[in-house]
Amino acid sequence: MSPRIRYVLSRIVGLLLTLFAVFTLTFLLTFAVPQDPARSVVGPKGTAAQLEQVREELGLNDPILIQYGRYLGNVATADLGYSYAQRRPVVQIIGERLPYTVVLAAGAIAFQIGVGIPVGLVAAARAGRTFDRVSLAGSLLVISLPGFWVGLVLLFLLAYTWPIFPLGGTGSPAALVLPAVTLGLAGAAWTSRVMRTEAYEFLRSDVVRGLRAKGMSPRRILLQHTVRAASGPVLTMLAIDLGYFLGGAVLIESVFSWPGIGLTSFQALRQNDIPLLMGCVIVGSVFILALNLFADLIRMKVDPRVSI
Amino acid sequence: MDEASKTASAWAAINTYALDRRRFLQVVGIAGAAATLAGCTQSGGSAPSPTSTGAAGSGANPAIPGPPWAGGVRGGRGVVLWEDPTITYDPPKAYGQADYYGLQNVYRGLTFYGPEAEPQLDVAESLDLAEDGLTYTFKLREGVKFHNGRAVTAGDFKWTFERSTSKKMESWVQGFLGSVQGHKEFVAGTADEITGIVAEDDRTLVLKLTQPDVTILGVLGIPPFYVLPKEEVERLGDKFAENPVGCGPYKLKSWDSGQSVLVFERNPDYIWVDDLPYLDEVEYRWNVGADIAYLQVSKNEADATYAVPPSARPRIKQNAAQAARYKEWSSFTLSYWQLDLSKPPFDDVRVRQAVNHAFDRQKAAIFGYVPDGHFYPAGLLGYDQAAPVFGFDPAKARTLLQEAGATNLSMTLPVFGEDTSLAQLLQQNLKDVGITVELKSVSVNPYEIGMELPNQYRLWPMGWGMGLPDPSELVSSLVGTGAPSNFQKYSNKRIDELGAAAIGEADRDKRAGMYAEIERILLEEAPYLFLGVDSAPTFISEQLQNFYYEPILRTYWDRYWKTGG
Amino acid sequence: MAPAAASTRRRGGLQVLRGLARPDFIVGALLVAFWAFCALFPTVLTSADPTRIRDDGLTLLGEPLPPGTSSFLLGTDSLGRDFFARVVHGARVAMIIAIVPNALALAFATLVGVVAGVMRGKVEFVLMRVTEAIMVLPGFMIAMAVISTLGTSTTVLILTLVAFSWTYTARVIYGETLRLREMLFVEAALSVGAGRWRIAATHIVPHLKPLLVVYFTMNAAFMVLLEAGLGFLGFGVQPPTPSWGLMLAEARDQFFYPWLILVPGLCLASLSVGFYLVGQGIQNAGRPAEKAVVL
Repeated sequence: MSPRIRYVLSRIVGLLLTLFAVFTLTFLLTFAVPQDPARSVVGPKGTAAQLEQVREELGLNDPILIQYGRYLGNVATADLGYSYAQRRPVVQIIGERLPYTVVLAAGAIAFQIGVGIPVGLVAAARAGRTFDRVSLAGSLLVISLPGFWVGLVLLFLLAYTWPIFPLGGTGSPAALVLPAVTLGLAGAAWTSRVMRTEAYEFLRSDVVRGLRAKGMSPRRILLQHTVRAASGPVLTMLAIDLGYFLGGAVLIESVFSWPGIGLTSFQALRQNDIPLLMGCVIVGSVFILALNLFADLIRMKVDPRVSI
Repeated sequence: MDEASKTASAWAAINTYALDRRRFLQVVGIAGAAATLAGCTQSGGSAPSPTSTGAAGSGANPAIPGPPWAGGVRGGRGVVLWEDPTITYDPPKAYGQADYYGLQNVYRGLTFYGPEAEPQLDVAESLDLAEDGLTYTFKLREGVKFHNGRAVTAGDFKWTFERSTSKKMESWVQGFLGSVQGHKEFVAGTADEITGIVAEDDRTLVLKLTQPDVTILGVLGIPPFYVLPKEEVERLGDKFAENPVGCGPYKLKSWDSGQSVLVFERNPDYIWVDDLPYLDEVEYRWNVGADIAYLQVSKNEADATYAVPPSARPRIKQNAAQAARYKEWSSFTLSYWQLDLSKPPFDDVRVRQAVNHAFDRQKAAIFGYVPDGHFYPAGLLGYDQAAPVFGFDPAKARTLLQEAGATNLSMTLPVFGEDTSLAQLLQQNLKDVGITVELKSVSVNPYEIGMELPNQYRLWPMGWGMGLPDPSELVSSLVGTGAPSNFQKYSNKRIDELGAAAIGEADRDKRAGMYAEIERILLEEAPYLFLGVDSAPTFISEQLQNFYYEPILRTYWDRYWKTGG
Repeated sequence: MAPAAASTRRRGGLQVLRGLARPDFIVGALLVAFWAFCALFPTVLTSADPTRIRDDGLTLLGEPLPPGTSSFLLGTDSLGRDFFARVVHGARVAMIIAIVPNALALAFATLVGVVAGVMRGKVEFVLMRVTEAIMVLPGFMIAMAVISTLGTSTTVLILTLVAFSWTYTARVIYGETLRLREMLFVEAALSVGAGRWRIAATHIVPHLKPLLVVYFTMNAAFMVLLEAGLGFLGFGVQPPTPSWGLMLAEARDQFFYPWLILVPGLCLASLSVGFYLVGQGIQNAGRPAEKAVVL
């Protein structure tokens, strides 16, 4: 078995183990919350006898290990339980809400790539000059801003004061712009900084000196070679970011009333709807995990410095 | 006439009908020649009646109950924004706003609320009330059909009433048919029907009561008692909540859970479709934050919102154009704090009175309340302007606390929802009289309120949106011994006596006196920290016309229309 | 979300100080110092009580007063409290959050990272898998759930912040420990097991110090923003204690009173910028200008 395949296999094993740990942790959390599921089903006027009956039905009186086994079995078959507040299966709710988070995450990543990479490249090409200094200072400021605050300010300026964009919600494609920009802004700033650092190093390396000696134009060097060389760490970062976005950007979705799983988890929490909350946590974790693995694989492939 | 006295006279009207048959028929009956009531004569115009102009506006179909309408233009779509995160269109289960205040678009029942919120006949064409006030005989209109095409029968009403009040449904209206024969046994499980509801034939429904009940017609006019088609409910099961089928002026066109939007379209089989509704479609969007809703309506991107953030209200009032579309109504949603009487410190009446004196209630007005310190909402029968409500008196509060030996008190105050402004005000007021209060943000599952709160806290916020415009609901749900939402286990024999007697009391003034006495007892014993009611704001678009609002059913989308298309 | 940082070599104290005297470091240090001052001595800047709802705090219609009205330097908030006082006192929460959970998280992360890097084998495997498991949990969601369960006391808040921020740093420290093992030729000594921990303590940990300092400053900013986010949703410090995140939550729909939204955000930003610049400055202390690293 080649070392590369062995590495991938070991990562997959690691992933499964991590997933197992995640499920266990969420299971334990459902016990930590002082909520009697039977009570939620039966309602406030239920008698003690009714409660007991429902507890039996739900298997709440079984030993913890058996409940745990049942829980794992359910999760494996994508049965994430029944939402108390909405009275329908959790997977159905998440199935409706997840696409919104995916779209938002895609928009944010597009923004990160579309803005961060060019800015970082140009800054590296003109290192030490005005553009570089301004973009460094600007990106530092952007990183330091609280994301939800940026969202509020953008809403205030670009949706209320000058009604260019809709005021939250998902009515039209334009509604995606503000939340995606807000979500991707910090990442774009980071991307530009990392890109700048990596490109800067590369542009001063022997490889480039060699290419210059051969007479290649600076632009071609920049666009073709530098991007490829610098993209390793950047791609890794983007994959990790994507994972976190898909994990549910609770704050941004809350500010813009964007009905993704982040906002869903917050509402579920507000209504003490534990199954829905845990469903969101599991789905979010799976995405983050998958994309972290993807990021590692990218790094392996693209960055020649990493050895197995 | 301002809103409060309008409603007051409406409730006055309701409460005369039990034995004063003539007046009763005037109130309930349709003015004009459209309907004749079997077996009785109508006195016509010899006595003044609040509805003598007819339920409908000038020239419009007088048979249609409800607030005025006339001269509107057909067409267009109304968009309404709501805050609720989740909704259900199964009437006895609807707890929120986007559902409860949309039910009458698709469903209708025996009676409906008139322009001054008095019950009027709707699907019932006529009513015969026996002399002893115990037998109600309804004759249903011909031609009323469900959205699936089938005609509505009396049997459907019986089935619906039993479903809504069944033990299994666990609905808040379970006890509302308490005066009907056989209801007790039905709820207890010893009978599988309510014997007092009889469908004599397809068009005749009889209700037999065990005692005179002046509230029953009002009860029949609220959405949980609007008629449902049994075969659709059974066919759809749980999905019925998203696929309402009724006999109302609108039918469901589409329901998108992902986008939180549902659309009603005009029901072509609606019995009065030639007249109403005006709007072709009505769109309800839920899960919309109040701040966003306000901004959207201000730009006419939506037509109505019933939640306006308190911070926006002063601005609206200062802007003439917006102020014209904005109104704050006195609602029937009580707000106060329940105090735990079983443990210190609130087992001592002096401490309870002290906190009431410590609270600077008037300041709460900016947070969206009408803080008059009463228990009843203004306009409700039994509301007494002169009731001895608590005044803001921190000195007296401190004295009372000292007398009670309650010094250095500290407690945790749970706060529901995200807005802690009111709680912070209370926190500061109590701090000023020596009580340290820590706020705790609590996420609440509606079912858990009663079970969890008394165990952990000494006081907790309570809200009660009245579903029926009658004080009997408050006694039977909040104040009476053993009442379902009487979480602090308050008990007062005199109140129980008065409450029981008032249900059947025909004389309106006597009845008002009884309920007023109940409030006086409450103000003396102070089982609550009184606040008042929520102020109910409405903000509508420039295009919306004939906007009518009353605190029980609130929305009348079948009779609004829009200019400008 | 930071790239791996290179460690700087130790130099004489004076040289380090001189290396620090760069414009960005000075700006950062001044910002942090200013807010630290506000946190420690708020009454020097304002005598008003930040939690007191004032009778004269609102207009007749119940609106907040704009900045510059009578004695209110920054006006009042939606409840009628002195906004300037709230901003100044809010620095205390921000600084506590920036320091305490940060230090705790860093300590814990170091422990895990070093132990995993030194012990290798099964211990390393388990520690790293657990770290990853926690790392992939949507921390924010769970933080909300935990806080709403266990309550909103400061202790719970701090512990929750620690629980969800140590993992990334632990991974980095683990990686760095491995690198140091190779670089310092202590591989043999460590695997033999003799005096393993003393070797770790005397050789590896000191070399981690620059990394730790940098991560401390960067995580300070992260921590402050995290608490602000939790406060925005109601899970941070409870009212009436002023916290900038909470103040933003309270100002959420106050579009007409923009100072309520702008000021706390700028405070958060300035504190974060300050910490970043300090961290950046420390990293670049003693490096010639062209080799300056940008975090």
